[in-house]
Amino acid sequence: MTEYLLSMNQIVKQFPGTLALDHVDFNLKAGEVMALIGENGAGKSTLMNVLMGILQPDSGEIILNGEKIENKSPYEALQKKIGMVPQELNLVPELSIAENIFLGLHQKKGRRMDWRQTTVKAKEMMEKLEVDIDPGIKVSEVSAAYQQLVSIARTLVFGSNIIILDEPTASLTLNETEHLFRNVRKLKEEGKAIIIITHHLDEVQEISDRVTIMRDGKFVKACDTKDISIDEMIYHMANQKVEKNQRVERKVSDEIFLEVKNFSRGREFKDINFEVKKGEIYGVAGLVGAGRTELFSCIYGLTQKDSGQLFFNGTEITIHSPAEAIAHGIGLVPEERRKQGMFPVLSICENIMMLNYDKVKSKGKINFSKAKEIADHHIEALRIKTPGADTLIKNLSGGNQQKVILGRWMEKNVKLLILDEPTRGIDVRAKGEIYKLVREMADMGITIIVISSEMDELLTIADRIMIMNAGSLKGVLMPDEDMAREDLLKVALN
Amino acid sequence: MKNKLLNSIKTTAGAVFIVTILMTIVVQILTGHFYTAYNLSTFIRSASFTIIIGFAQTLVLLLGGIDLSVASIAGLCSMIFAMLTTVGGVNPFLAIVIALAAGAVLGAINGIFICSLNLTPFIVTLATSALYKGIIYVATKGIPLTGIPASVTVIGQGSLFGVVPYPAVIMLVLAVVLMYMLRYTSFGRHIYAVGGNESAARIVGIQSSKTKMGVYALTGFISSLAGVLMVLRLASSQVNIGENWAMPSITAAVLGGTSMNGGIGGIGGTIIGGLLMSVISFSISLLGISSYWDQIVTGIVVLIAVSIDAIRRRNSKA
Repeated sequence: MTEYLLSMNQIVKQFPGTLALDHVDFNLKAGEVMALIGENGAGKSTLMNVLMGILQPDSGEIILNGEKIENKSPYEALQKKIGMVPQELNLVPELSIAENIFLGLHQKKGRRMDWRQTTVKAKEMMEKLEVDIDPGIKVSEVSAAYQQLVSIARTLVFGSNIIILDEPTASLTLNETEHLFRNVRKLKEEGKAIIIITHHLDEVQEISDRVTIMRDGKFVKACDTKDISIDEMIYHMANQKVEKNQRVERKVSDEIFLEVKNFSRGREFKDINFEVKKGEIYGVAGLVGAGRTELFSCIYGLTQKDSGQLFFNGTEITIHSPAEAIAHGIGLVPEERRKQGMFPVLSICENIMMLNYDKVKSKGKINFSKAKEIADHHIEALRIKTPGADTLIKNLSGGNQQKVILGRWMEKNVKLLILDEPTRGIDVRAKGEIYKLVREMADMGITIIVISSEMDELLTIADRIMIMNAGSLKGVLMPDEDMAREDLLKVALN
Repeated sequence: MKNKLLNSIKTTAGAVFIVTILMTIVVQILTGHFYTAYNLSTFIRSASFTIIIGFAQTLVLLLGGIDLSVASIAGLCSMIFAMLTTVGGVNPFLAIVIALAAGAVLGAINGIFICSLNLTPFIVTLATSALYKGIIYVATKGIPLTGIPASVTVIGQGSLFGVVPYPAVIMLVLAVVLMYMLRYTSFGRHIYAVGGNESAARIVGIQSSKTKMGVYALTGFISSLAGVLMVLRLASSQVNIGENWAMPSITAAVLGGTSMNGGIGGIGGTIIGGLLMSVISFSISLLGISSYWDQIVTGIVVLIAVSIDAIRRRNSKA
């Protein structure tokens, strides 16, 4: 009997053109929380996909409870009591919570589905996870946080002893994260081993017992969390010293650029008043559901306001559609990059130029060599890592995709740019680069609004922070180096 | 250059093209009749119709939609043209213009329902397809209209310099125009944008309903062109013109590498896809096999083509 519940030894996985896993070792003890960290492309997800049987390793062995196992499919992994909660949850939105929990493990009476039993057991499961909810509700009707707990409940009904959580906090608020972590600790006490893949190193310190660090498809280091600092983690992940993202105090003009008066729309937000100065980086904080995205979607013309006025550079304007917003010099980088931000099967060049083709047209004909020159300019200026402007945007990393989208609006010469969760799912180093670009754009006189659920992000980058809760504006803060996220939370909940 | 050639073979359309050529060679060896001037010209003439209607379908597929009414629009417009010239005594050239405009209007009607009420294209065009077809039967009572003047039937029956059939010339001109439009105009790029990601298109200020309306109208126009050309070729209007065009139009586009999910594909591929389908049915009749086999072979070819494509995609995925 070894001390480990699970050992993955010398795992190799080759993809066309890249060695995704290069003789990786990974060990897990029962009753521990293991954080698996590394930059994008380090091989964390690939390794977990091998464990789950989604991918087959080229060589190497997996030992579970002292026995060599081979998982040919996620279902086989589940039967060996290994469950995964992927980042993009694998739930059926139009089915009930109860049915989703018991998918693949139907509760039956003879040959017939036993719906009563399904509901009762589902209710028990959710209560165990501290959720009081009717399990008959459709999954599509509950929040992302609850959906995640449903997904966790599903791994539990299979009796999983190992639970993998991939970026579990990416779309959670602070409260929801705390709720999740309470559950993680509870499961740990029951003797279950939990693997958390995450970019948030402060969460690693908060929740994990041990850390495994990967880089470029290789195992780098595994140790007890208490023996390693965040700086050391970053050092091992990047193989170089990365400066922590520092706050930079900026001078902002007194010229008021955007003024919003008495903005209201249905139940989304009520009587919002604020003003933003030219070249300012204006942060917008709040818990999920505070109405932040809804407010700025409305300002951008994606939805129509019920009442309120919008002043742009001193004159009142009305916006009914994104096309009108763009005509006024407003741009939006949306929250969901893949779903709303980019054209995945088109090239970098087209993603930048799609709304800028008028600039390179002569007699109605698009001049693609000119378009490519412009794209190349942005690739260089924004330090986008790519073989060329013809590369499809879907083949870039998240950080580089986001830069392409920034380039699109730079080229449009927008005067006001709204960034909604600009660094979601982007690794530490790329985050720093995005912050730098945002500051450069603001220094050029572009007024920038940053909506973010990461309080630390706003404290790093914003000149002022407006805090919303439940559709109302709760206050505006001038951040400084000593301010912590608790200060923002206090305003939000006050 | 050599690299470019190699890469084009790697695409679906490239592979389909090679299969097409190989098939013609096999049939040539077996019958000795494929590559004769007469057969080639007959072949090209009939292939042009499949390809033109395939163009119409390709445009809506690129947009992420589908149009099941292309066949009915072709039929209804061919009837409108025939009635105007034979019963109405309208100048046949003017009648062509009116019929084409009617096609655009019928397509736009699809567009209005799809955009303003946000209905699924499949359902809307399924309904209008039945509606348009029904109008043909009610209006003609199933009786063919004959007496189309020879001044215009030459467009369907004649050949440029006695070599290239006019329908093929029209098909090629249309192909060049559409390729240019898709590649070099904002409207064309917006089709790819809306088809590739409609919410992203909205955020960059593309008015997707405008793009959609334009595409459905254009698809109606091209469908009508195919229908009218068929009347000119037959010198009479039959109620069943274009009746079986809807599925082949999708087949031609998909064989040519156009994605049913929108955003990927183009006109060039559809030419190749349409050619392959026509080669299959033409070869079957040259070989003296029952034409019932046509559908079986086409079905198998489509399955093979899309499977190869899917396997290749899976392997190239990192």
